[in-house]
Amino acid sequence: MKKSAKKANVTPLPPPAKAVAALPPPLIAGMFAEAGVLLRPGRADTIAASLGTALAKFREQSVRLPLEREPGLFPVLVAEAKKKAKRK
Amino acid sequence: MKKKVVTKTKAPAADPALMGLAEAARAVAQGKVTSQALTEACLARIAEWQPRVNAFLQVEAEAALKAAKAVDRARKRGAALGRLAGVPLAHKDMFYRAGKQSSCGSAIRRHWKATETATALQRLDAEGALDLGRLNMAEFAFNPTGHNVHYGHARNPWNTDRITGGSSSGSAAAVAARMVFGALGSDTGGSIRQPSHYCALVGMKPTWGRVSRAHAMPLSYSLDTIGPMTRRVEDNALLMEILAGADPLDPTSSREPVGQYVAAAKSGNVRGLKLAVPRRYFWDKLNKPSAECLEAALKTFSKLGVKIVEIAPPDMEAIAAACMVMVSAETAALHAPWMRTRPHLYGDLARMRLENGLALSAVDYIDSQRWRGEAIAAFLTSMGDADAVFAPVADRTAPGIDETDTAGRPQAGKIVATLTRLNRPINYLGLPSLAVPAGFVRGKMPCGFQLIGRPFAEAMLYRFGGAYEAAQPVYQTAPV
Repeated sequence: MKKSAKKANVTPLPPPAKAVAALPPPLIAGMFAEAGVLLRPGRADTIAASLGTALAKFREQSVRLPLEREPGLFPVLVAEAKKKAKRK
Repeated sequence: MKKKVVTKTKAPAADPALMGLAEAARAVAQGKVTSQALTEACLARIAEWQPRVNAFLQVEAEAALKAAKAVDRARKRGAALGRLAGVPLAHKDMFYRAGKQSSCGSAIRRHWKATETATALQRLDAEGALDLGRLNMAEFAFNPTGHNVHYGHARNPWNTDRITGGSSSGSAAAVAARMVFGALGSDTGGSIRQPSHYCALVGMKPTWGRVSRAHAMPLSYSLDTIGPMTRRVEDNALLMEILAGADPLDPTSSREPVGQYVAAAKSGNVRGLKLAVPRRYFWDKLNKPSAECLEAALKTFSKLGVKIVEIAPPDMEAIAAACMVMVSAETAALHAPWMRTRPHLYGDLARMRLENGLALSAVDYIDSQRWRGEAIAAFLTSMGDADAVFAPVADRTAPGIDETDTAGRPQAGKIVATLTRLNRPINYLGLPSLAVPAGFVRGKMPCGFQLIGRPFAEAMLYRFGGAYEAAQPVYQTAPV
C-alpha cells in the first residue's frame, strides 16, 4: 500500500478492467436473449469489436466518476448562458 | 455505372428558384415576384432534378400552388404577411403533420399517418411558409450516408455518384439542387452538419433544447436536435429565429431568450473576435485537399481581423465514445419492440446500428449521462476566451455511393463508422455548431467547416458565418 493511502486510511482502487473485456460476445448473446431480440450469426463479434471498443474507451473516464451527484448537461448549459449574460 | 460529370456555374439571377430564402421572402412581400412564380420555379427544378438525386418521397404540387395563390391574393389585399410568406420549403420525412404520412424513411412506418403536427412545422406555417412535400432520409434517421434501401438512395447534386451524407439526405439534396429554398433536418450525431458539408450548405445544429422537438420522430432523447439547412447564412438565421424558443409541448425546450440571429448574420463585423483551432483529434485524419481548403478559410478569417488561436481540446475520443454509448442505448430502447416483432422490416444498416445498444448495461448508460457535465466543462475550459471553435466537419469530401454501401461490402462499414467522428462529440456536449461552406476541393466537391459555440451562442456563430460568406460567397455557384 502506498504511504499516502496508508496515511489517509483508504484502500487504493484497483486498476480499471482491461479494454478487451468490455463486451465479450457471450455477454452480448445473453443480453439479446434477455431482450427477446434475435441475434444473427456473427453479430456478437461485430458488436464486441465496435461498441465494445467505444465502451472500453469510455470506461477509462467513467471509472473515475465520483460518488457525488453530477450536474448533468442541462443545468451546466443554463449556468454557462447566465454567466455569458452577466459578462455582457 | 457510367460516371456522371456535373459541372457548376455561377447561378443566373433569371430563375427565381436560384434566389436565397430571405431574398425570396422579401421579393414576395414587396410584390417583385409572386409566390406562384416561386413555386412553379421550384416545381420545374424538381421535375429536372428529382430523377437525378431522389430528394423527395412525395411532392405536393397542387396543394403548394393553391397555398401560393392564396398568399399572392393576401398580398394584393394588403394583408399582413408572415416572414416566410409564399416561400416553398420541404422537410425531412420525420416532422409529423396531422393527417399526413410520415415514413421516417422506413418500411415499418410506410403507411403511418400522424395525428399531430410538429411544433417546428407549426412555427414555419405560422410565418406563411409553403410545404412542397416530404423529403427522403436515412431509415429512422440512423445512418450517415443517405443510403435508403426502401425508397432509393439520395444522390449528391454536385456529383450523383457521391453520397449526400445523412441522415438529412433529402433535405441536403433538395436545397443544394435549388428544388426548395430551405429544409428542416435533425442532428443526433452530425445529420445536419455532415450533409451540409458534402452539399455546400449552411446547416445549424443548435444547442440542445434550443428548438422544440415536439412531434418530430425521436431517435435519442439526450442528443436529438432540430435545425435548418439553407444555401446562405442569413436564410439559416431567419429560420432559426422562427424555430427557436420554449414550447410547452416539449419540456426539454429551453426558456433562454432567443438571439437576434438575422442581425448577427448580417453584421459582417468580426474584427477582434477570437477563433480557437483544436488541431488534436479534429485534424488527425483530415485528408490533404480538405486541410488545404480549411487553411484557406482560416486565412480568410484572419484577413477579416479574427484572431486565430490554437487550443488543446480534452479527450475527444472519450467524448465520442460516451456519445456512442448514449445514442446506442437510447435508440435500442426505442426500437426494441419492433426489433422483437418485425426485425425483417428494417434495412440491414439500420437494424445493425439500432440493435447495438441492447448489449449495454444500465450502469454504462447512466455513467454516460453522469460524465456529461464534466465533459462539457472541460471543453469550455479548453476554449479559453475564444468566441467560437473552428473545426472540420468531416475528414474528406463526399465519398462514393458504392464505396459506402454496406450491403455485401463489409469494408464499407469501416468507412461509414468514421463519417461522423468529428460531429458526434458536439452532440454529446450539447453545444451549437454551424456548418458553413468553405469552398470546393480542387474545384469540384464542396468542403465546409463547423463553428462550435458556447451554449446558446448561436448568434455568435451566425456572425462568423455571415462574415465569411460575404468574403467567400460559395452559394453563388450552383450545380447544373
